Amino acid sequence: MKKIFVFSVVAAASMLFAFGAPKKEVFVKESQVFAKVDNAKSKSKKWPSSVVIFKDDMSAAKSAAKNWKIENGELKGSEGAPLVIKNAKGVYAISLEFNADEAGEGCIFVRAPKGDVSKAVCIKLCQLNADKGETSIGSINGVIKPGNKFNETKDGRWSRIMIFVEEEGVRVTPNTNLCGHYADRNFLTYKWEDISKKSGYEVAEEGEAGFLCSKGNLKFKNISITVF
Amino acid sequence: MNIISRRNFLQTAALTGAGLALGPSLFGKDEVVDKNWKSPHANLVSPDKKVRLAVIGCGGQGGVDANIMAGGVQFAAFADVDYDRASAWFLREPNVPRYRDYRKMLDEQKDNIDAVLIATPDHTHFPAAVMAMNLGKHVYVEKPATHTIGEARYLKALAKKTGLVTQMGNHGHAYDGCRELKEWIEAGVIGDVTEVHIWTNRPVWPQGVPNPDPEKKFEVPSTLDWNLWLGVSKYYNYNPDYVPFDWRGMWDWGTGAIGDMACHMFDPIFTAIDLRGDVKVSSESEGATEFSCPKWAKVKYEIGASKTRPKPVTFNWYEGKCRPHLKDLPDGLFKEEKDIPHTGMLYVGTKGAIIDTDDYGTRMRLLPAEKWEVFRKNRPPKKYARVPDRNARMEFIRACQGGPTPGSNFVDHSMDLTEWGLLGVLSLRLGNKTIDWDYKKGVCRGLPEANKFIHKEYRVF
Repeated sequence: MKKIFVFSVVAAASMLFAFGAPKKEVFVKESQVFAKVDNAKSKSKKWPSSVVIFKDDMSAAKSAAKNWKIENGELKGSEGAPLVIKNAKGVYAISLEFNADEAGEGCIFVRAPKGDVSKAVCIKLCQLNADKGETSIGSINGVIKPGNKFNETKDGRWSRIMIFVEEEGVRVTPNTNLCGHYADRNFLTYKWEDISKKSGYEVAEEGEAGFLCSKGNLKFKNISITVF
Repeated sequence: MNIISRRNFLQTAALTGAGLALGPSLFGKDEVVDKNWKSPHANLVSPDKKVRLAVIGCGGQGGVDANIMAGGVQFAAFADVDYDRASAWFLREPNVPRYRDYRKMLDEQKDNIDAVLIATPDHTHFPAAVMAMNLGKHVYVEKPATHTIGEARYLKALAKKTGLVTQMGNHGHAYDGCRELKEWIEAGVIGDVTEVHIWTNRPVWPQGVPNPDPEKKFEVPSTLDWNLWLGVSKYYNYNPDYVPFDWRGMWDWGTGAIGDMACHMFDPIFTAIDLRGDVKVSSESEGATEFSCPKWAKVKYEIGASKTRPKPVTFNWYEGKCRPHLKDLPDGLFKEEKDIPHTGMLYVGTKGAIIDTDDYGTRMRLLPAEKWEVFRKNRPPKKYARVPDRNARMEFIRACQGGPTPGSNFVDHSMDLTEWGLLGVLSLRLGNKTIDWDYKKGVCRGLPEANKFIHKEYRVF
């Protein structure tokens, strides 16, 4: 009888939370923590799945651009028009691997108002003239530079980058170790307001995301987008 | 300590057709033979199949563990309350289902999971492990496996009842040091152990600090589900000073320096001699509050002789700025104060002493130095089986496939070890009161106020 009462308390408490009733904390004893697994079902949402794009076709592109094509599961771009991605809105993450030829230079842009890359937030992918102190991967609009330099590989290997577009700013993780033990979550985090100040124009609250190849040739693979 | 048979297990395995699939990699090269090895565990995975592993807490130490297990498992699902911390694994395994809430993951994916790696903050280990084990899943739980002594006893009983494979993440237990120390002490190298001194430079995170601005409402990062991070803990407003790391020094979520390091540094001697039984535990410390663990602490355990423990043992722990001084130690072990290493374990017996300057028990030597020079050329024979590649994570995975029971399993070892460490935590939480621990009943004699720390309450979240 006592057990049934305890389970009912747990279930009732869970329902209260689920239906958004005023939050009054309910506590149980250790022997009642998931003593019956059925009580443990959670209403919380799953993480959204990642969608792989630009692997087989250009259907994820908002508009056709002649300087972009798919070959052998890779997205290949040359100097020219930007490639705008459909459905990169709100809070989302883009992850991909990229490879540039010797002359290759470009960026991933986000929050481009109506596709205007000149007013976008451009995250640099390739670094030319590294020895002359130019900005590295992960720098923003050429005006905000990471404290540490991150170089893309120019020897044929692929580099990896993840970009999180969030409400307060954008976070970039270029070529990082997959599983840093004491990872700093502020690593390469840039706030929209700081980007606006330093870039000399207001970053749009909404805008499009995509790829830009400004010199040479770029290749991308394993591109996925996750909208949260 | 499991004594493992290699040769005879392979004989048995060959007869049952499992030998080829399991292969000699399940065992090291120099084990002691157990002629009748047969896994006693429930829900074993066929050795020719990969263990389907779910991960709860993919960043930090969970990422390290998963990386080491990756070659031997098929990832079945990931759960993490923060996609920022989990993003490396989400990227690396884009087709593996991902969840914020481990409860939802276990509920929805239970038919696709054999084992669960739990590497969340300390306060969440227990509920996650209980749910996984109630669903019949083997569990590898990071250290300290539990937040309270009550939880440790509960998990030990649950492991016994379910027969599942269990392992705590004190990975140093798979190194040779624990076995060597046991072999040396059993061979009488230092006589009967009477004193233990263990000291660390931890905490290397804030302790003895006030709760930073508990009323202030910081914006929760969009990547984090703060309510799920808190889990069974009472509710606190989000504060960037709590996560992702500094919770270790905060009682509601961590267990401080002693909780963090006891599972490693107490392990060799806890393996080598029997320290189970009634014990008196006292402490000195500074700066502890209801919220924060102390800036520094000394804890003293005094345990009497028994059938398995020829002499009473005094066991001393030093953390923060504390460390043993010449006056604390037997004469002649160190000439000057500066000779005492900054971190280490010292075991003093009736006939000598052993010092170890590695947190995981791999740098042992006899004191004084001249005794060591003679001893190192004439060590006692190996009695206890070594873990292949000294790899605790793969020891667990192999056990899920019928291999030997992991050394730091809940039933025989790790929950008792965790309890020993948490007895020190208990004395600190009680404001340095001396506790008189009744081992059989699991209570402090004459201290009813200790019960709220032995058995805590869990928020329904």
